[in-house]
Amino acid sequence: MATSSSNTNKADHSKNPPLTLRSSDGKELKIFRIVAQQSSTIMNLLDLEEESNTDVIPVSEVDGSTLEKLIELMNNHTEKSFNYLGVKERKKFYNDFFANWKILDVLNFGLVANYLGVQVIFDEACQKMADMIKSKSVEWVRKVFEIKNDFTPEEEEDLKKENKWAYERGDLDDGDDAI
Amino acid sequence: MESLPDAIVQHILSLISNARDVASCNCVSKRWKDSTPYLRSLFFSRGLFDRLSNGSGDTPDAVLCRMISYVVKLEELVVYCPFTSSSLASWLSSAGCSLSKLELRLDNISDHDEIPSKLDCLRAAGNLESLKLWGVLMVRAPKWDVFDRLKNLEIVGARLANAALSYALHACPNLTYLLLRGCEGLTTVLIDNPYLKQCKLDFFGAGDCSLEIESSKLELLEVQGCSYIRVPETSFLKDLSIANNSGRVRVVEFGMLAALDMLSMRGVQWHWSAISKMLHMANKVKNLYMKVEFTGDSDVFHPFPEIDFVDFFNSHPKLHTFDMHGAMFAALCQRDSLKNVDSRFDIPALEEVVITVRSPLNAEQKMSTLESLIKYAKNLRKMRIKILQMKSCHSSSDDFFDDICKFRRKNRRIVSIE
Repeated sequence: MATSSSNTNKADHSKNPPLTLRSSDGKELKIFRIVAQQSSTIMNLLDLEEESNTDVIPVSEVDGSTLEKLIELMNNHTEKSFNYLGVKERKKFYNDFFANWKILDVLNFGLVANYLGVQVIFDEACQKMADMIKSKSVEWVRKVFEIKNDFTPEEEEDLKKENKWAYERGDLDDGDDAI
Repeated sequence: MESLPDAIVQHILSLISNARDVASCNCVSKRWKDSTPYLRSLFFSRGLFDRLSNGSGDTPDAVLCRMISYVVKLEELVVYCPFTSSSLASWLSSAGCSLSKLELRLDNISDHDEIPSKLDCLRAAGNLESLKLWGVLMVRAPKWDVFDRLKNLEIVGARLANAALSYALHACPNLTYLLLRGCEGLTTVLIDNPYLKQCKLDFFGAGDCSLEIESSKLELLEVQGCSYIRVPETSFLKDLSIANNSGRVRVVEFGMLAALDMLSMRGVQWHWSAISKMLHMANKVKNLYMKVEFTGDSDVFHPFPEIDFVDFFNSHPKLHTFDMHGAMFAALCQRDSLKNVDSRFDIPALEEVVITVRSPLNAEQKMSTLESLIKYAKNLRKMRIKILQMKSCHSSSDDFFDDICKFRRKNRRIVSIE
């Protein structure tokens, strides 16, 4: 179907049928244009798609389950009531969304949001990871993020001495609830 | 996490600000340690160094200096743990220029002046937009230049002197928010910062401070502890709260209060001229909170004189919520208070009333006034009656209480008792 100008199409909200995104594992998900506008990447892919006249936008970097969750969050953002949430309520909203997530899943989700250009969700995922790191011990952080300790023993010794005051409290968490 | 771009690692780590967590993150891996310089804010909690053992050769000041010097462009710094002024001078020499928000627990009030004083050191943070200080000793003018960008100044718990405060305020020409809470030592205060929008003042002591504010853009003013208050330019003032817990409010002088929505008057004793002037000028007010207990021009406490019910409500036609305590309510319940009430009278805007009753005197009048409120305020949705400890050795208070309960039953939808 010939399109007059992609700008006119984008301005027309609810009249247009939803877009279809296809994930890396073949899952097809619907998303309304007005919701999709939060993603600069989708908008760019849309330009390409309209030129090639296919109906489905392939999002080959993202698996179906993550894409579905991301679309759900983007849908929440477009609801009118969401814009009226206060700071505390927003925080609670995201806490609830990420409740019981493993940290590597939050990381993956954040990276997908980053790839799709949804800045707000990327920022929230980073905030969630920062919150999960707080009060955790060095060993915990290394284990959970699968980070290799690349300090030499001497360097490690020096660092420990320098930061001994942080350990002296003795109440740094070693909990592995987020693994 | 290993294959992530540095920018993402830095972004996550920049959201961590508690110094203890930052120190931990420094030990995780080289990449994490290299991200410390990109932090934007650092927070040192109060008991952070409580258990720092002497054997480690480290002092709190040394740790503070070290951590702060790691960060390249620190924007926000909050320090609640103790530190010395030379330590402060040292951090501000590296971080002073980039800092936009600074909060320090000085805990200086009972100290003698350090040289250089901590306040003097703050001069190095010339780009601050927000400054909050706890436990301040400012009895001589601090050696400050001008804080051009400072919009927000908060001082909590302070011993001040008139001239010192004046100097400090003049060093902040673009101030929009000023909070002085729990401050003692002031007798005369003049505030003329031209862009000031919100001003919250709470002065300790005998309650006889004299205040003049010439900031013409003021929108919110809260004052506690002043006897003389003069604010000549008030065209933008929307919220006004005047209280005095220890002294008398004697004289209030305000400009036209055309924009005033909310007025709160509290205190043990106000001169009647001050009360009636405020009530008269706040004629567009929507929310009125009236908790002045006595009037009188001398040390003797007097009850309020009679207030005409009709006159009061006609001169406050926009009144939407009204919270009145004992003395004010009693004034509306005098013998002739209701004499001008007739069938054409009404109080259309009033929706919520809270009345605190303290004594059963004039019980019959009080009931009449309550009845009148219900009858003439057709849009009244809620009336809460708070009954404080009445001396119930007299049977009249029991009768009065009974009357109120009957009144409540009759108007169940609207009235509630606490």
